Amino acid sequence: MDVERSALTSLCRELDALREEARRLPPERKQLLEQVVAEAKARRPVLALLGRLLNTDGDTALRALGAGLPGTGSGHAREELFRCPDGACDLVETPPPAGALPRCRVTGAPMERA
Amino acid sequence: MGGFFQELAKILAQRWLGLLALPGAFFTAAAWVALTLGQSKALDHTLLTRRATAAATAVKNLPPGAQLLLVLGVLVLAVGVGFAVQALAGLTRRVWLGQWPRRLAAVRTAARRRRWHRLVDLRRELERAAPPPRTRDEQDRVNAAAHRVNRLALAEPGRPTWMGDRVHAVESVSWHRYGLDLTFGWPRLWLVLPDTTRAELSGAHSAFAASVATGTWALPYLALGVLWWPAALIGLAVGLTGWARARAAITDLSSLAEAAVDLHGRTLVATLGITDPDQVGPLAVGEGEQATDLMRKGR
Repeated sequence: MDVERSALTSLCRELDALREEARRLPPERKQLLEQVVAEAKARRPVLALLGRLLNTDGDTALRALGAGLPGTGSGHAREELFRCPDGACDLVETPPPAGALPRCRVTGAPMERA
Repeated sequence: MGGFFQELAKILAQRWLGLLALPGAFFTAAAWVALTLGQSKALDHTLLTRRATAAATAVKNLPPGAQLLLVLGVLVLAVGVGFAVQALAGLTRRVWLGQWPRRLAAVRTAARRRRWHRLVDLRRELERAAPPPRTRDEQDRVNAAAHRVNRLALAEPGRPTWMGDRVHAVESVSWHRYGLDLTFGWPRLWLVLPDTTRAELSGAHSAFAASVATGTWALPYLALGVLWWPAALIGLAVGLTGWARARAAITDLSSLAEAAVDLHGRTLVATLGITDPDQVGPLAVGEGEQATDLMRKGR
């Protein structure tokens, strides 16, 4: 795997979040982020600079980018709705988050995702 | 091959130094300070300097052979303390992961479960009050409510601690959503995981093990606090550092483990011969249950 390419992909994906985060950081860190962006625009290597920005080595810079800033918020909550497996009734069930999938109390068949 | 063994020896020496010798040496030094100052003169740096100077002079006046023996003795003591503390790491791990005595665990788990359900009910109330499509504010409120639930536990709590519930959530999701019992399924899933996935999981597990090792060093310092109170403060700082790192590490480890089940559960079921290897799509509960029956063999 081309790590520089992967780092650039992560940077492109997460630049907005990095800029948002940089607002709360001291000026020298903001400058460092702009330097990273300038290098990325010029299509030069960015991994070492990213490591400095995130205070990590190359490997962890990649990892931190993939698992750090995005994902720290609350995300977008999705409700799960399940309906009658053969559409015979209008019951709609919502299981507890990550809980057991509901079953039809009459037939015992797993309910279908609505 | 010689280069490989040299590298291996170097890594082992670094680990030995980092995990046992250095923390052991620091603790030995702290114990010496504790014995020298005691509680009544805990912060008397003048006394400490005088005693340290006297000790250094005494060592300097020893014959070279005795000096060497002394250094070796201190080293052996430091490593011995290191080994003793590392033996306690299993205890820290059990406490943090919620493997407590049954009655104590049941009380705490029930309290966590009640709190979790209260938070889920709050989320459901918000969802019912503002059915989709929602405005940005309404969705933000639902998101925040869901976040509060997830911050407590990612599935209905089943262990008395936060870290324990992170691991429990993986087992719970695997069972409820895929019919896979990870108690028996995990070793088999491990064998069919790609090398890259196993490397990520091993890395996260190593980080957790290292945090447990760090946190365990709090115990001897807290015990030393009986003789010298500043040692208890050191113990508290070390314990909190290890605990905070362990929470981060277990988050990574449990997220990766759940991702491994999501992504490779079907491979396990296909390898067991329950489904066609060419079959695609999410693993059905029934398929997972068949795999569980096969793996548990009635146990």
